[in-house]
Order: sequence, then C-alpha cells, then structure tokens
Amino acid sequence: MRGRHVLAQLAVALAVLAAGNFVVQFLARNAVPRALLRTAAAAEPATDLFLGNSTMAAGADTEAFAGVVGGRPFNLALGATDPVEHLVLYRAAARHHRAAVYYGFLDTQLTDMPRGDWDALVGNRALAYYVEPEVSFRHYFPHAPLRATGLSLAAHFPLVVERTTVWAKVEAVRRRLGGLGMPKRETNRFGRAEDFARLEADPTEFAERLDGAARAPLSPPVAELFAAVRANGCPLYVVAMPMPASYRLRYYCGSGWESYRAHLAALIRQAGGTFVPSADWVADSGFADALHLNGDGAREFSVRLAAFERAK
Amino acid sequence: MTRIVWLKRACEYVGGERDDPPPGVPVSIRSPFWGLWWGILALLIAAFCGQSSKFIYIDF
Repeated sequence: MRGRHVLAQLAVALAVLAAGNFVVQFLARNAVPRALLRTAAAAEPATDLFLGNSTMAAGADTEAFAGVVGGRPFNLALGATDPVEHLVLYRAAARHHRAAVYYGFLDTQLTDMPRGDWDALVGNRALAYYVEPEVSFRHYFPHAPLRATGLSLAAHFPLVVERTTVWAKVEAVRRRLGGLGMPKRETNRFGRAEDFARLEADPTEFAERLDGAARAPLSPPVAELFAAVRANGCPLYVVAMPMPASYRLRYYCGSGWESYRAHLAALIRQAGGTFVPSADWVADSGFADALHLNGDGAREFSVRLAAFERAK
Repeated sequence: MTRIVWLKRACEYVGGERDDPPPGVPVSIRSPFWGLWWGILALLIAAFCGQSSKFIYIDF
C-alpha cells in the first residue's frame, strides 16, 4: 500500500467526521440554551428577571409572580449550569437589562471558585463555548491562557463540544430499552427524579467546605454578575432556593451554615443586593424531587418572592 | 470454507485481528472504503462513549 492510498483513506475518514460534525450541529440547533436565548431575544423587555440553575428554572412561576406585582417577569434560569454560565446568559440577554434580577443559588455556589474544563462543560454548560467564550474561559482559566485557547479552538467542532446532544439521545434509547418490563421510574422535566438525590454532597464534606467558604469572597463570576446588575441600575435579589426539610436538616442546620449564611448576607449587602432567606418557604409537598419545586411549590414560592419584593 | 467461518474471518479482518482477508473479500486494502469504515467507527465511538459518564443530564 502506498502513501497516496493512506491519504485517500484519511481524506474519506475526515469527510465522514465532517459529515458527523454537521449532523451534530443540526441536532444541537435547538439545544436548550439556544432555545432559551432565542425566546429571551424575542420577548418583550422584562421587568423582573429570574436567573440561576434548574432550581430557579423550576421554581420561578412567572404568572404567579406577575399576579402579585404585575409587570413582565421572564425566567432566564437554565438547568445544570454554574455561575459563569449565569453571567454569560445575563450578558447575552441585553434586552432585559432594565429588569430587577432574582438570582437563585443553593449551598456554597456563590463563593465556590468556578470549575469548568473539557469534561465539565457539556450539556447546557456547553454554552460556555458558543456564547461569549472569552468571558467563560476568562473565568475558568484565569491563569491558563493556553488551555483557554485550546478550548476556544474546540468550540469550532460541534461534534466535540455538543457531544451530549448525541449522548442524550443514546441514553434516552438505552433507558427506554432498560425500562422494558420494569416498574416505571419517576421522571420530571429535568430527568429521573432519583438522579438528583445522587447529586447531594456528603454532609461531612459539606461541613468542611463551609469552614473555608465562611471566609471566602464572592466568586469572580458572581461578583461580576452582581456588579453588572447594579451597573444597569437594577435591584438585585439573591435568593436561597427552597429545599426540602430533609435537605435542610442534613446541610443547613449546623452552626457552620449559620456562619456562612451571615457571611453571605454581608457579602450580598456589600454588593448592593438583598438576601432572600427562602430556603424554608415551601413544604415538602411542593417538591417534585430532592431539589426541584413542582408546579404548586413554584406557585407558592413565586407568590412569596413577589410579596417579599413588594414589602421592600 | 463454510459461510459462517468465512463471515467469522471477515469480521476478524475488519476488526483488525487478522491481517489477511478471507478469500473473495471484494475490498482491497488500498480501497478508500477503509477510510469510510474507520470514520463511521469513530462516529459510533463518539456517540456511545457518554455511557461512561456518571450522570447524563437529559432535559425532557
């Protein structure tokens, strides 16, 4: 076999990969972050903007909220995302920059240093590659410009950065086949309810994390997000998202959490925001799984949040 | 050679276990077909390697 045969075969293999790349790009055209940003761009400028991860995506009932304070609330929260993605989403939704912001968080999310790399920036977090990657990578790799450049180059290959678009389809088929003849497993809009219980941290590890977090400043993306909201002249509410009683008992009942919460409230005040202590606002019947509110819970939470804002 | 043995050897050949194809394989080692073959295999690996992820987030 000669070199030209190998080159021809290599060219064909590359053509196949390029075709795969186009297919993934096509499949990912309506990926959740893209659809959310399109909806945000088409919506009337909001008066109240909800930001955060899936706990806020599920928890903010815009109709119930508007029922109390009126206006045009918009839910820009996105599941399985971190503060860097929240900052990027907020910057991208320029149309809504006159809105009061309600930023939902849980645990030590506001003071944790941003973590994102090749293995973590998948699914919804892949938006870090295609919505202002320079902002995302500035936070994820502040001291590793070469790494940031490498990932910026990867952003040109949907087959690589949007790989979970295909994985999710394969996984959906696998779950369907695996579920044949088995009892039905409870699912909600975010996936299998039981999966979210597995995301919970070990309580001892969480307590150790609180020790360090009680002295930590706001993480750089959170500080930048808060500064951007305040620079736009908008009120900022930082919302401790409601959690079920068992979760609060496991993580939020010790003195460590109390110290951390006080520290956090001070940081939020310094940043010009208002801390909303709403972790215990909703009873367990208002939860769809270990983390997310169901429809009734979201309504109750949103009405109370609106009433809190009105009382300010 | 029975058909099943031929098929087994053909599978071993495309899988890389055997250097020589069974008699009658219509594709020469020089054929661009092998580029297609390895390209498709790479795509299949890319599609299925998510199985090793601990938690695949599916937004229904």
